[in-house]
Amino acid sequence: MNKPSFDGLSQPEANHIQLYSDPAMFELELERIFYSTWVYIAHDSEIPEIGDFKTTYMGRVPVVLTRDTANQIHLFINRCTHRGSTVCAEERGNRKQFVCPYHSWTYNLDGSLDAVGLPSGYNEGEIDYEALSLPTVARWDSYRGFVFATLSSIARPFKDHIGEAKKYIDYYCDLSPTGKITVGATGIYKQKYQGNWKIQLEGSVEGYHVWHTHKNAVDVMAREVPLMKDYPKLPVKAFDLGYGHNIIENYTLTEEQVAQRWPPEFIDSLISAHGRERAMNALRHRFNLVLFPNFALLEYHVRVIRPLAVNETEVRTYHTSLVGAPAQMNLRRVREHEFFYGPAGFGGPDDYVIFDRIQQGYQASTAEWVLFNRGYKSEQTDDRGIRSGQHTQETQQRAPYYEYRQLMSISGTENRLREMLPHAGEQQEEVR
Amino acid sequence: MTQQEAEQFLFAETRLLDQRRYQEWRALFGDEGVYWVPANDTDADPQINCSVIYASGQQLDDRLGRAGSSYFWADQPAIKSLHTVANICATAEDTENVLILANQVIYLYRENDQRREVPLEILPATSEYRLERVNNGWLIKLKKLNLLQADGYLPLLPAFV
Repeated sequence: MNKPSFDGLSQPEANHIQLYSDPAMFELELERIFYSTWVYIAHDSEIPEIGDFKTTYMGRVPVVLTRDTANQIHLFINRCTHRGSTVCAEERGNRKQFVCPYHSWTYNLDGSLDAVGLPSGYNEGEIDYEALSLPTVARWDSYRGFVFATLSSIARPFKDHIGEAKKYIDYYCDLSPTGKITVGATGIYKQKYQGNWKIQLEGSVEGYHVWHTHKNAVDVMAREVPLMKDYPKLPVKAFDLGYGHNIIENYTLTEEQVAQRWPPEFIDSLISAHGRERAMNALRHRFNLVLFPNFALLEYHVRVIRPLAVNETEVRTYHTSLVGAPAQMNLRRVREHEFFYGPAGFGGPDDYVIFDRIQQGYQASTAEWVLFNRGYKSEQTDDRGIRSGQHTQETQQRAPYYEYRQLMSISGTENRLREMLPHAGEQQEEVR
Repeated sequence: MTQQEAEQFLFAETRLLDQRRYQEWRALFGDEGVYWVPANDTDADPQINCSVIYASGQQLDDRLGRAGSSYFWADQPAIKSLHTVANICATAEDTENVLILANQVIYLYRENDQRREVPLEILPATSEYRLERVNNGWLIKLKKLNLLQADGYLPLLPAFV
């Protein structure tokens, strides 16, 4: 297949629809984005016990995350090193070993090859057990249990990659009195829509549509959270955090509003657990965070975007629970998540039907551009280079494409090779 | 409640859904009745885990509001439904309470769609109804619908399944 020319198709204020409708462009995105940069895999709370595993995908590549007998986490490509069958057929479970169904090649939880079927058929020198462990990814790393991985040895160091986003992950996890959350243990909604993956990426931080698409849900929510009645006028912002990551603030409470929103015992428990500053940050900030290209963190869930085809995308929402928080608070987080994001909820399904309709509209090859120039002229840039705009403007929709253009263009690859050189030989960090 | 009365109750209840007579259907739940469609594990505790729908009282009324809202985009054009109910088994727990188990197959179809060709969606399910005698009739204390695809992909759904 001839690779399409990418140059000029993505501009700061608009993308060409070829980025959303051309199958060749989708293949290029798999290679240059999903197989090149850091992608979200899972949260370590999904495999809490020794022997637990979870399978997922990096682009089309099937991978399996395991916890071995020494309580160490491993990430493998789910492919027998002999003739290529997946060694694990399930989404999740618990195993002592993985046995390939074809010739009984048997792998330990740390990926090492333990045994093969009919070993006497191999002559001396024909099988090297040590070299035939399950294939690994280039690097993986984690922050507060969120595991990310890359198939590319030239991806930038992970700690640089998530840099600016870390504080928001801290705000999120610190709402738990133990600092720990579970991801997916209390429910996973599994959905597909007939549209390009970037529509959900842009749509995960979409302040402009809330008032229009979700009017019915906003009316119901405003009973509990009265400030939702003034959503378009809230003094909140959206930020481009660099490397394609971005965030929209949903609301940021004053100390007085914190006292109205949360029970005093809960506020006290967070202050005694984390100290006042960390506790107040967790209590004040509600936001949607996007980590390019496949991860979003919303008030009640982790959203994982999986590209299936140029016009087909899977979205999973992993409900989060705050370990150690009062049961009543976690119950409220269940009901509110279900209310908005469930498959029969008041918000999510309307977004998915709109994503379907957007993709239908993108078949109009004569209407070439997808616009996100709202607020471009008034966008602010601070001294660290962080761009920001008002929450119903489109700073956050523009944000991914600075990184996207870097990754997709040949010159971007050359830049990454140069960036990589000072870090050659860097060791993978232990999971924190 | 006799077996035949139980069958008639379920036929009438699901017909109200198929005819979109949602106000009348809502009235079957009274103030306390719970309408529950579990997600993922159908045995999981709904006070700890997320469901597709877990609603009673005000939440059912809110859902009625959604059904009639012009902002219910997932239902434009409208999703038609057809329920078939079978394998009905009624067990009287006492004179005032009855448990009905039944299998259901729910068909969903969207006509008048710009795409012209929209797949017919099929949702097989087991169901559990707990009814309580009130005055001369029966109120639903619990309707639990266990979708076969509870842990899989679900299609766009009407306000009440």
